[in-house]
Amino acid sequence: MARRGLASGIVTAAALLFLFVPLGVVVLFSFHSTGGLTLPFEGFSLRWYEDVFGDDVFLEALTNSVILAVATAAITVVLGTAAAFGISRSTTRLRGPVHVLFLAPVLLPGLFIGAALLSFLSRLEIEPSLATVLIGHVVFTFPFVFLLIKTAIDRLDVSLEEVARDLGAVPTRVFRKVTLPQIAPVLVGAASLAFMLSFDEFLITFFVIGTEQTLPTYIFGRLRRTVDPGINVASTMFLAVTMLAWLAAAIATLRAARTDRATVVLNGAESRPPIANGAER
Amino acid sequence: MARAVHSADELIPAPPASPPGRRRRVGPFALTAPAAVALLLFFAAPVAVFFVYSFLTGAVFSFTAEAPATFSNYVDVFQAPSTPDLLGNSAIVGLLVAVFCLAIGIPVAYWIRYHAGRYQNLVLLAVIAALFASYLVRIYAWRSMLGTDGVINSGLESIGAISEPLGFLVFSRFAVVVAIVHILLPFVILILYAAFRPLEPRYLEASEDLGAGMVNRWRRIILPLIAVPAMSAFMLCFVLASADYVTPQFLGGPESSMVGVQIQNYFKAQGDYPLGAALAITVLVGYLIVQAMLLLGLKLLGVRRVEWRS
Amino acid sequence: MSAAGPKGGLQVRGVKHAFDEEFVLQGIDLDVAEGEFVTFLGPSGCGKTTLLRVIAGFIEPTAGTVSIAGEEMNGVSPHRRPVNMVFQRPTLFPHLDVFENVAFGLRVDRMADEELSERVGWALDLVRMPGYERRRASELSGGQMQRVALARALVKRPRVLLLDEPLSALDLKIRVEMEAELRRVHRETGATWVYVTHDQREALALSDRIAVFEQGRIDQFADPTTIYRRPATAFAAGFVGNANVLACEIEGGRRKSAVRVAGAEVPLADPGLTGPAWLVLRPESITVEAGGGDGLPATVRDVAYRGTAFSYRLEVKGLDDPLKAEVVASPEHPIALGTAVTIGWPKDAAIVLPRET
Repeated sequence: MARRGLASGIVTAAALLFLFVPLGVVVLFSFHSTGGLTLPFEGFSLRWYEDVFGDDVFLEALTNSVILAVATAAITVVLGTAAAFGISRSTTRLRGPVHVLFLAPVLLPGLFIGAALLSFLSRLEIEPSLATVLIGHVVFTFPFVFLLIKTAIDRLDVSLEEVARDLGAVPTRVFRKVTLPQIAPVLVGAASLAFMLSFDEFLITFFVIGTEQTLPTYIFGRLRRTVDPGINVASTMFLAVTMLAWLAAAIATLRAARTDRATVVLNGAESRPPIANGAER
Repeated sequence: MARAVHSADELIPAPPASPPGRRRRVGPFALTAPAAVALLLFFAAPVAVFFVYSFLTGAVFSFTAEAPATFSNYVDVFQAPSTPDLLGNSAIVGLLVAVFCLAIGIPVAYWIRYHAGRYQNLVLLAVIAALFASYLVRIYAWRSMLGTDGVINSGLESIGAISEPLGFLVFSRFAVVVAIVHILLPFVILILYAAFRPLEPRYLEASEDLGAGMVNRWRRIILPLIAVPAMSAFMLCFVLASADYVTPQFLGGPESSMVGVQIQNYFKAQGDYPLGAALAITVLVGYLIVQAMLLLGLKLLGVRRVEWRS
Repeated sequence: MSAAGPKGGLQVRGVKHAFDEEFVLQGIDLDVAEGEFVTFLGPSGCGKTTLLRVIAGFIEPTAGTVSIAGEEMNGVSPHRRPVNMVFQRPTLFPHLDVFENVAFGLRVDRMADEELSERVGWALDLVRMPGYERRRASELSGGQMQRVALARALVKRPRVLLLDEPLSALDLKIRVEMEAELRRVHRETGATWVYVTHDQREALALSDRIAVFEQGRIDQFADPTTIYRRPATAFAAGFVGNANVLACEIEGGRRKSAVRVAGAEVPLADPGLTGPAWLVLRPESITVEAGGGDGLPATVRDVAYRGTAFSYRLEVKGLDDPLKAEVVASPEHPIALGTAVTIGWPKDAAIVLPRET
């Protein structure tokens, strides 16, 4: 039985190598003492880091990306939470179409969203800028955030809120003290997700950005000119920020999962049937 | 997490079961207003306008085109000599990426679901981490690894496997496919894992008990049961791969031009928005056709959405 | 190839199995005759399901062999064994209708359509579900799904049918109905059945023989009456049927054997051993009389009405746990709470088993 899964296990190991080795190589060469990107590796040095961090354009791009990502996360989580409650807790016929609208951006690749947005803004004679990029990011990340939060809301135990109201709490208090704590881990997870999606976003950004830069457009621009270890540095910084955000999301999710499991066990959903009375002494 | 949705009934939720005695509440629905307005304004409207603009002609780099609605853009698109190659090549890349993603993704998701044991969560987290490792960084990684002076070539040369660098590795369709597979694979693994989730081991045991060996188990149980999500994943790969406009620019060769690059060209370089829109809409229609064909194929095979009951 | 086995049937020899260094099965030997209905009975974690899965082929035992109809099964994958299983939770394939579910094993064997249809029809008739061919699993109730699962397993006419607590996921009423159905189907097919359960009531009702499992070993393998009346171990005595198991001392060397329980001496038919022992008393053999008299003094701590009888919990001086007694309804009963009573039992009603200290 232990030999089962050998073939798929090998494929899995190979796939994981395939996914992570190239990234490892990028990070490795950001520390290369020479300017080459070939083996053999000739020694560690931080010169490229000094180079890139001395570049004002890079710093500006990094800052812009972080600000955009934080703004996107904040806006989508707020809009998304409101929208998720709106859809979950109401019963009008408009629910269906609006729900479709909320998930629709997922259907179009970035190219199309970017192009459409550019055309539209152009028509309204709005100049491309970081603000328009923000709009693009919010539109793009909204479906993911919305779906995540809505799933969490649907799994809420409504009876807890009813108990609170029964005990005299006003709706806003109920929300703050009963509902919010329960969905808080998911909100953190959704915010991290929005942060990561926005931070990494390039396809739409490229269409609707003005003269400023985000980290992806910086890398793109630099990549166009030449292939050099400076890009490795920018990439490594990129990965570092993303991994931090991902860690935050992972921790929040794991904590949420632990509380979930406790509830499920209490509900007896996973318990075995009780031992028959014959076992009593 | 999120996945591409390709049919309307996946999107529309069933109404919540209202406890008896609770009156219909419309109040909460107002909470959806800000998000709805934002999306209508910045998503639905642009897409609609986009559609309309494909029928206009006019000034460059702006949308002050007033000319009467015309099909001339579409005519230009269909008549351009480069179009068949463009669409054809994009479709081929899309297809190759989709096939490889599934060919790798299915065994990996299978292993994680049934053979990972206590490492399951760890491997899943690793896959999710790979998912967020940045689009551009990955393109760059392959650009530098596959180049004639990149890690792969210099590695092979140093152990004497080859005497000259392999030229086909980069600036070719091969490179584009490898890079896009690298980008989409984590997503596909997660989608397929979610598809495998409800298929508990006892179903596979039951089929094995009834006489089904490996081949029969895959053919009669596993593949039919993951067919619908797998097709969604296939479609997702196809769409995202064929519409990519960055990967082909850095890793593609002259003979492997892709439609995304051309659309981007029309918009950013030439400023001919209507023509770009027309090409984009044509591609979208193409996607709808492919999706329809896939759904038809599933129907012919007798595969349908499965209702799981624990 | 063992030549010593009966024509059909199942032989288990020296099967041991360890999970992570812990031995879940500690050397099992079993001989099941062809056509017998045998039950593995025990609490969770005792190894009964593990042994079942070893027989099915899902687990390769750390040691020992399993033979079916004389043929050794070690290293043979489940899909090649002449064994079929009914799982604890109905495991009908959701993408196939009832007909195709039942036909699954036959299709894998590439049976011709006509013969296949006939067999499926026969199997569905057997479980009393004709006409359900086109339904899907999601349209069936729990009991119906298990019937289809049974048909699906039987349609291949396996030499041995394994059932892993098939009724435990069902409601009580359905369970009782299904017990009768299972007995009937077993009679009609005449195959060897191995049934796993933790419900001793079910085991007593269904089986030709019961194997009582305790922590990876079989305490006793005998027909229900023997296990009930003459349990081989204190565990078997306590697990099968309600029982009071009391620690006692048997003093030999006297003309009449005496048994000391809770400091008092109680009469007993020849116990056949001396020293520390377990005294096993079934609740229904205990008599309860108000007031003083011959026998052990006790106080009534609880009375419950069971329709045909009264269940008493009696506090006896010197015993840690209350004694359970069941007395058939009669004018003297129920006796009020707190009353002092005398309890006794027929001399031959008590079962005496050796006790290790």
